Amino acid sequence: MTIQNTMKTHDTVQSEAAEWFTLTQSEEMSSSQCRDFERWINSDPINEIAYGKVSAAWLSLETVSESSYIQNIRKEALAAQQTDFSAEAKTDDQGADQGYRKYADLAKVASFLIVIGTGALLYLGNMSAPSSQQFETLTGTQKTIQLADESTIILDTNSRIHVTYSRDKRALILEKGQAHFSVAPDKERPFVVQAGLGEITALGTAFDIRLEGTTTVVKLIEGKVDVTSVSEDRNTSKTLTKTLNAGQQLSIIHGELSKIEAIDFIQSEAWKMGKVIFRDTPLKDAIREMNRYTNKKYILAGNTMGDIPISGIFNISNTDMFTKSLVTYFPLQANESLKYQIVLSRLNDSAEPP
Amino acid sequence: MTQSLEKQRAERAVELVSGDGNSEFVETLYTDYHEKLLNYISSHSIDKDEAMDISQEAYMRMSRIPKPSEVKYPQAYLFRTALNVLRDKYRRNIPENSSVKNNDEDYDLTEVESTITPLRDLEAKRSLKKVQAALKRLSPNARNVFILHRFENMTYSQIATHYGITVSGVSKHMAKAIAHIAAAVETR
Repeated sequence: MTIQNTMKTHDTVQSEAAEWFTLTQSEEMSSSQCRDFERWINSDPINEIAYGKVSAAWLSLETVSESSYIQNIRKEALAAQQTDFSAEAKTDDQGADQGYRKYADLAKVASFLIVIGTGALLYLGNMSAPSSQQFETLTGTQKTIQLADESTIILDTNSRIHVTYSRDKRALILEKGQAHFSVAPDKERPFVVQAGLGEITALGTAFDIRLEGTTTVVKLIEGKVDVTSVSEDRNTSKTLTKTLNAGQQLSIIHGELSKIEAIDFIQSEAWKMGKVIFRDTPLKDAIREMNRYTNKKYILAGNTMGDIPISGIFNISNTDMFTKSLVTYFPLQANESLKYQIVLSRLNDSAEPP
Repeated sequence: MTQSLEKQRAERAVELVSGDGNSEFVETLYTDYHEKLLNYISSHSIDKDEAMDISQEAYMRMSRIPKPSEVKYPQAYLFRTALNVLRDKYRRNIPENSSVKNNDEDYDLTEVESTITPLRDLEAKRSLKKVQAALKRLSPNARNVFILHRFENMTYSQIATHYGITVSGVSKHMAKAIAHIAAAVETR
């Protein structure tokens, strides 16, 4: 566990990770480059995650290696000549290299997907009868659900969702927990998620919703959504709507819409990889987060340790490691003898007066 | 509990490898990097058991490095080796004549089977369209360099010779392409 105060932007981390990955793929790395790499990747959990993501993207290309598109561009690449390179060297920097940092890029991806989406529309025309389904996860588990229209839901721990598809609406109710939605574009059938006192309407986009007590948090990864607050009795017509753009989040607290804020991308991607990330997170908040994933709940005895900042990456399936790290790095002891609780308390320090 | 089982397995891996004569090197790798290596492998949506197998294979391969004493900072090599293990494993898991081989724009990937976790399989399917779109948006130079390295397994210096450009030029194109593609795969 390392204590880190620096917060780098998502973009910076991503391009650093790409550069380091490029270097580690080269046939010759100098000893000092190897040392610098170790320093970089071990200095901040977000570097570690970012590097892993670049690497995972690299690996995922294996599935496409036999596709005819790749076969064709492989031939092209082999046939390309030196002259092609000198001719293009000048214009090269203006193009794609800037795009990947910006959301403008997403628009291109989106327009590409819409082409596919219209293909899917024809096929959806046949499914007219509304069908309702419920999906649920137990504490400590996650589930990926592929819906008929190719939208995808990733359900986090201890979550439940209702899905009802009809001819003119894709209606979902997140009853508890957290979920990620990757919505297949379909202009004719809005994708509407009810979560607590919030209603999120999307056309084709990707977003997360998390329910925690009376608060609903919506994080938009891609595209655009409308977030509407619904009054408690659901009959009053007084509602508020705000539009979120990619990279933004807001909360609905007691039916009120909060200010729009920027997303912490690393955080919002972590749970989908089965990880929890803490960066100077107060221990009491870290415990609350870990408790979402385990039936054996952490309890903090006394109130002197709740605010100490902790940092680290933990697997949601391995809370042992979390306990171990806490007792190793902090003056804490863990009593695990109870069936449903792990009691954390301050180590008795005899040097201190009572 | 699971912790100690894991440790036993990893220790057995170290023992297995030590026959090759580089046991000290592998032991150092294990002591200094095992947890980092498992984290790294898991970031490819690999579950714990499988990650353990892959780490064992990576240690095995690392033990065959000719002059381990010269590698003072082995993390980059270890990660790269693990990635190669993953790639080889992935290759074995793609069935021949799978539906990935079809014509042009749209891929029908619904029949691709993989013994690797369903999440990763799904992610791969979803990323495919994005990868293709991303490759199309790359400048031809960056794309060509990337393709030769990724799919023709050419080293940076081979690519440099092939196109008559410098190795650092190749690296620049690579970094650009990798960042671009990783970003495209990442956005859902």
